[in-house]
Amino acid sequence: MKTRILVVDDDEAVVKSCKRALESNGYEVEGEIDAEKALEKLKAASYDLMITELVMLKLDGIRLIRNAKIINPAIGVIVLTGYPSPEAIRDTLQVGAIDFLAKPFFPEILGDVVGKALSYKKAARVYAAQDEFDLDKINAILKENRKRPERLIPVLQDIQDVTGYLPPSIQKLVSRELNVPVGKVSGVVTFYFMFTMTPKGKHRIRICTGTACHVKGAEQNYRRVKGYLGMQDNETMTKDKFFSVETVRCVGACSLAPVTDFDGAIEGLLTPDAITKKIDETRRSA
Amino acid sequence: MMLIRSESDLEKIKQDFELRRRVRVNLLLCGGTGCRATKSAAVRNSLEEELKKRGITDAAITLTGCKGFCANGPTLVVDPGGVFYQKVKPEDAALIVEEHVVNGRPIEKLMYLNPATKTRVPLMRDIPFFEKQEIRALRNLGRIDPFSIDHYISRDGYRAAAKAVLHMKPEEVIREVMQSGIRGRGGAGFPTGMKWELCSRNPARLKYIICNGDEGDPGAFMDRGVMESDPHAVIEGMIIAAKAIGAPKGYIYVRAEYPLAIETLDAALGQARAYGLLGRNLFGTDVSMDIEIYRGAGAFVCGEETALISSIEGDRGNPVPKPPFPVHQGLWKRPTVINNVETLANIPQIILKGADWFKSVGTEKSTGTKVFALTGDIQNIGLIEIPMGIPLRQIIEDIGGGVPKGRKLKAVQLGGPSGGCIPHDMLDTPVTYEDIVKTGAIVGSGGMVVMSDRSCMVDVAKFFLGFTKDESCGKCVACREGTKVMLSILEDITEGRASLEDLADLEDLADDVRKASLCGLGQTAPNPVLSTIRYFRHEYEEHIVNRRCPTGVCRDLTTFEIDPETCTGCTACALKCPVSAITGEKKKPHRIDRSRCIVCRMCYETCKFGAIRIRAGSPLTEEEVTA
Repeated sequence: MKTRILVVDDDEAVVKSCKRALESNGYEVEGEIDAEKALEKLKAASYDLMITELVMLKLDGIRLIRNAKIINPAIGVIVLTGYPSPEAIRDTLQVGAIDFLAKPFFPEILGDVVGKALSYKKAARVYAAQDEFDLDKINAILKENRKRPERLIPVLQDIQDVTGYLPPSIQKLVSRELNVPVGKVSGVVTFYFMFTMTPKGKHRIRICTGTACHVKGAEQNYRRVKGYLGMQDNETMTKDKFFSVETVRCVGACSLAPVTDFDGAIEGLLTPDAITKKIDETRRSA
Repeated sequence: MMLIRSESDLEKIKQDFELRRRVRVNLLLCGGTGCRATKSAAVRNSLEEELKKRGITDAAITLTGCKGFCANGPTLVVDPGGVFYQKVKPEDAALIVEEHVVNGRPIEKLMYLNPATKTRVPLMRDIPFFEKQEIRALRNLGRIDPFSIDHYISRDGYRAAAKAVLHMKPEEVIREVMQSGIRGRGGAGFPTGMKWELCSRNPARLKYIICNGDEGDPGAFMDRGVMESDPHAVIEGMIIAAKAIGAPKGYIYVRAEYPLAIETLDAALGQARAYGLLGRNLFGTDVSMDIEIYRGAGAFVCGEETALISSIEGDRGNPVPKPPFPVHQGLWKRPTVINNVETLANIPQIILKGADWFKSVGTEKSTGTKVFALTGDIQNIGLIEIPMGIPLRQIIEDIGGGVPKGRKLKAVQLGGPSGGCIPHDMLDTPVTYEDIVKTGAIVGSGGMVVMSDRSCMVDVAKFFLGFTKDESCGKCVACREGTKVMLSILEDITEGRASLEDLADLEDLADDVRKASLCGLGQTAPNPVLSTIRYFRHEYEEHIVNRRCPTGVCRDLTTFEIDPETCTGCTACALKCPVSAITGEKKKPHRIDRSRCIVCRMCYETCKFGAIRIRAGSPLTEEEVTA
């Protein structure tokens, strides 16, 4: 199915030129110079994206966006304006616009912004579809750090605390919100041991592999746990997504080596038998 | 809340606190990471319940930070008197309250048992583990509630900050630190006073002080102990540093693996701000200073200062060439001093008691004390603080209580992945920066892992190299590729594919990696390999020539057998074997079915009679396969 876009502006020349530019990119585009009629169109058909001017005679852009979001919460919005004041930008972002474009602009730029907005919408849908993610929490974290590239690592940490892992969709989102290139986000995610791009099980078993634990048989524990849960060498999660098994660099509880972190609680002086017992207990209590 | 402006304000808080806390009995229960793991929270609950049940109001429970004796946790000290109880269980609460709190009779069975004399030791300071230590940097560990700033102030906390900020010029502070001779406790041992001096000379207006709490060495937890148990000492050290170098902003970089340390530091920063000890115009002067916590993300290389700076700036933690040194151009290109947690925790006492007091222990070039995390195959495991210059033997034998019965000391590993192994016959080496380096190891940040005759030295080298290979940031080819190839040679050795030429190659390569790497990680990565080859070459050769691991650690070179002469048929090993490979009748010699054995070492660890023999690994014979 073709992507459907609605362009709304008092100025017919703008509507026409946008239409022409976007249609040549293969989108299905409708134009409207009357904001109230635009609302009728939104009710009648489903659009993926709306591009609208902020200052219009019949209905101002902010109210149009609010209504459009009520009619179709999934619609993406790009704002055009000849008066790009910081207040205007803030207001439009508050009502959920994805991007902001100041007039005048080249057709290529419009194509670029629309392309990005659509992929952002797609990414947002990818993570929205996975109900395990707490969207409100993620958005709150991002909002607090908007356009602060130096906050990249803390933001990724906070989000991973919420989601358990950092899939590409989230990395893109972070890149956009913090104004950091996607490549750098991915570079940071792959550099640090703590960040992971694979999902985590409901219960996390993290076997400490520090020196003291190594000397006291962490390896035996690791092999036993993996074997007991029937996991292959390259697997980090059980098939039923109940347990994930990882190693962790020294947790600093060396006196109790070998230790394992079960869902954040450290258990010390563990024999392979004690670990399998603990696994059974966790399963039973589920 | 009042703002602290002078020493008399501190004195007032101290007196108020002591008045508030005037209870007949005080129960100091450890709530550090170690003791939390041994369920000190449950002990606290049952103690509280017991006190409530009996309506006792003149006894208080204080949850302290780590006391350093984690292996015997949860630990409890009862004041007045300082009676020390160990391995306290929730069920013991009734007894403690009834006997000790109500009747004032210490309970012998919960006290420490001296294994040498078989007597119970009532006082913490008389336990051999603590007796030989010189507690300075760790002076508040286990003595205060880390979540109470008043408690810290009651032990003369922030006095040194007041002295430095109110009565000393920056150059006087630096001179005192310089004269104390304190050297960076994070590993490299650079003189702290010198670092401050270099940075203070820089005329820049914005400078930074960073506390390096990225304690990445596996097997080390000194800084964790300090941050969890005495967070204000670190903050106070940073305030003094800020005054000395003129830095209005500080960061504490803490490993994400230490959630409790982050929690305590966060609380401590809030309390210090509330008292005006952080923020604008400290003590009413024009000195301003605030501190932010930065959570690491699990990269060992970030302990290296330039990598740490990249990480705070939000980047991959890649080191950059020095010079420029951070003291000239560090965080956000501003002059930056980076000090280790333990270094900073020492500063307040240097200012308060003077450089001469600090120098009163230690040697000429290595002054003061050093904290070590003593772990591995040793009786007493925990955090220890010793005067510099005492021989290793004293630490291992007197404080650590020697290796467990029936085992022999083989080597002591110092300095983690950057360090090396010191063999048992060199135990008389004094612990100073200079003497330890001569052995091929380094003092490092203070990880001290004791290894007995059950540890395979090739495996230890392989373990550390596997670690540095994973943690290499990948910038320098020598480190990135060199460690990889070195590791694969070590794997060949432990899996029986290597020749003696490979061993020579390994040594050559080690030399190349050392010379051609930019930062400390690569330069020191070969140390564990070189030092084990230096002292345990015969063990490498045994692996290569005879295809046998003398300790039975390397699975591919090991076959376990039961010696029918020694086996008593106690069935202990058969019960433990996870794959039921051991069979035999009670009271008759057992045997191991090699086709089922997974060489997990369980039987070897279990057998009390030494009947499990380690033989060289070999392919199964036809007879064994069919058996």
